[in-house]
Amino acid sequence: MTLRILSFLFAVMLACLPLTTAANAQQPPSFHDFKRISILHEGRVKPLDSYARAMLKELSGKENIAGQTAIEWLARALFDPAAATDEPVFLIPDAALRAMLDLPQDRRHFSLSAIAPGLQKTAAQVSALMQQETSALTQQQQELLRLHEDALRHAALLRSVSLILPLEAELPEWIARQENETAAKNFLTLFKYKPDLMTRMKAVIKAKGGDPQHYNAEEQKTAVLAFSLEGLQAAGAAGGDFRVIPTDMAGAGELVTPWSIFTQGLGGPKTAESFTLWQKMADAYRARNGEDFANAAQALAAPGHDLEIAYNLIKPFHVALILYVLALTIAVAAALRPQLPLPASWLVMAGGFAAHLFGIAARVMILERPPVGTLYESVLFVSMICAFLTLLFTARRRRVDILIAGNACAAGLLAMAPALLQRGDSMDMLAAVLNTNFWLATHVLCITAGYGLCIMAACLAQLWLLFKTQRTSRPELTLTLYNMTEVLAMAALLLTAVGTILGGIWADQSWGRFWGWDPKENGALLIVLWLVWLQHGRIAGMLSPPLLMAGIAFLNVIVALAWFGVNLLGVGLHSYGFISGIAAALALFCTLQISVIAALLFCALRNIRRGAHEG
Amino acid sequence: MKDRVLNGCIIVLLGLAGYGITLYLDGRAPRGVETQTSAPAPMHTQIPAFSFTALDGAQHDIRDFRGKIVILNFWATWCAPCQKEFPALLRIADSHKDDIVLIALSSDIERAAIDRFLNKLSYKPRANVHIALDDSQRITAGLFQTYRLPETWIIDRQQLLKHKLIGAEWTDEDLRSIIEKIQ
Repeated sequence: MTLRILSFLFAVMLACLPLTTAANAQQPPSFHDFKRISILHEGRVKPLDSYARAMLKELSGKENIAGQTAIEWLARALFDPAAATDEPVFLIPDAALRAMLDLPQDRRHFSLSAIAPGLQKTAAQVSALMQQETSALTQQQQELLRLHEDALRHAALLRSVSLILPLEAELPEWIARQENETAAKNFLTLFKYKPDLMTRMKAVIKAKGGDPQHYNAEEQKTAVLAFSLEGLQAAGAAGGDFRVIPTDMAGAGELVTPWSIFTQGLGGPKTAESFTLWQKMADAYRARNGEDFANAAQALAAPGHDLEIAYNLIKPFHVALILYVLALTIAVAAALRPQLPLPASWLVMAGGFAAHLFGIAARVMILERPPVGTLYESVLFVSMICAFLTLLFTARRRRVDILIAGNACAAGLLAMAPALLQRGDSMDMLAAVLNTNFWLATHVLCITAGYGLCIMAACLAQLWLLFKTQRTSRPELTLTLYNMTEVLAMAALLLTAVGTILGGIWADQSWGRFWGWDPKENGALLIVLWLVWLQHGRIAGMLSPPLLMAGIAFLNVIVALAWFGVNLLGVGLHSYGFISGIAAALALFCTLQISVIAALLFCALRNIRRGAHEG
Repeated sequence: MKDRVLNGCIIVLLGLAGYGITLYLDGRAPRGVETQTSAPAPMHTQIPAFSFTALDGAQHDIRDFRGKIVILNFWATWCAPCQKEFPALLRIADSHKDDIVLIALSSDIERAAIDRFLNKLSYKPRANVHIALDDSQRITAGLFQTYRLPETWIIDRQQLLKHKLIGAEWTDEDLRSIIEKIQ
């Protein structure tokens, strides 16, 4: 790793040096079509817009940097890498890590050129850290590793199209004579001279030694050009993931990196066409010729990315979260001052739900699979279910208590969702065992819809208990809440039971066994058994309404453990969705919920005993 | 009673809708795209139009060879693997004089190098073999993006690119097998 980092970074920095810096601004290019160019990234063909946003977010934590949008940053990184090495894209939030890398403490974002000396200094340490398990590393050590990996990825991005960018090196006379003055002067066009350059360099070194100061002007030009080509080739051979060139070599839809055309011989007529356009785009960008840039980008842009670009731009889940919070605020205000219009809360929430639904529908259409395939998507879906149920229950009669509870649930889940995202694009390709539409649409949707119903039932149950703690009895409100909670609990039982059985059938098909007492399976069964026990207790008359409601309220804890808790264990055949770092938050949530439910139950029972309420 | 019937109908309709959606979506999910290329797979790109001047001075257009299997070889005299595979290419061309055309485009800077190499091989001109100098790699790099030599394209009678051999690590049998499949 030490040698790899040192040599790679050195090669990339060196490779960027010969490349000229772009001319000053004449006409800024439009990125309308540039963002629509296809790239194969993390197993999915997506627009450059998504790639740029994901990449920049991973490096800097933001989708905008130094006054540039993500796509502008990407264009600069590709076509003006020498300047891009000075852009502060690396986020280093840890002060101790900044000190270790000899970086100033007055900011948190740094450029590749700023962190390079620190990376070199810590290269040996990183090599040693890589031999250890991630769980054995401190937070700072993990951050250091991550920074090194990010620097490598960023460096790889910078040299993605370096083979078509102009070289600053002056051509030796014998090459200049053969080249057309107006022809492009880049790695690809000059590579053919490399064998001759190397032969001449060997002769010069043999005659005059390795110090260029002893060379004449022509020999110095030869040395610089040979060194530049060698540096670029070494950097290019290190690989990368900027797969944008359609190739003649494989099935339709496969894209390869520009450098692999050179290193792996994947070139052909199709790649030649694509390269010509990328060359035009690079030249136009560097000359700030917006028209030529747009024309070349338009020829490269792929159809079918408009929805994803709209999704990236609108950020429907952010919109939904804002509207849910706004609806919550209006509902709370209306609760405190009844003269305020409560229907406004419902309407705002409906707007949020529409944005939420658009977001999920867009993901379904983009990914061409059902809406829930990852932990992140499950949270989005459950949040939507909570919002939908709230709107349904309050459609005819606006209930401020239900609106508050529903908006709080929906907003809380949506706010929590981004914390569950793995690094990179939120639209991941699924593991092979998961990627079957039938089971994703049945088992997974049943289970997650069941979770949503459980959460709403739990919230309404806690509302019921809260009302029962009041001195004034409000039977019309509590009766409605009781009935709603009962219906939700029954529906949740149906969905979770069916979903669990469907999961068993899926497991039987995938792994050859219906049930293996896997933590995830046990979690799902726990919810079913809890609901069954509650219903049996209610029917048998062994659970009074307060106890029943407390039991339903406790579903929040059970669902949290079944949904998130089992993923912390990191064991079992259900080896997807494993996460770490939320144990403390989960424990806090469970503790708070148990405390609240216990307190509400105690007070409700006390009130009932006093005769303030009927049980 | 009416409510029960209505509820029952809603449940049945929802179930049918869900089943219909799963049937629609089933099989449409992308499986992810393989990012590692294995051996070159058949492709169906039409060969681009180009012309060249053979060493004997004759002008040719690639379209002239429609109806024949074309072996398009990119080589150079300074490339050792190219020198190694050249006789094998000639053997294949000789074994199918009426069916196969061999076009060998050289990236040498000067023709003299090619003449020296052919003299060394005791090369005798064949009607179905055309050797040419690709000036400034106009075709080699410009049209076919070949930067490392040798590379050999096999083109079928409809002038579709069918196979690409990268390097010289192939045998006569490999090439014969590819040609037989095309035939």
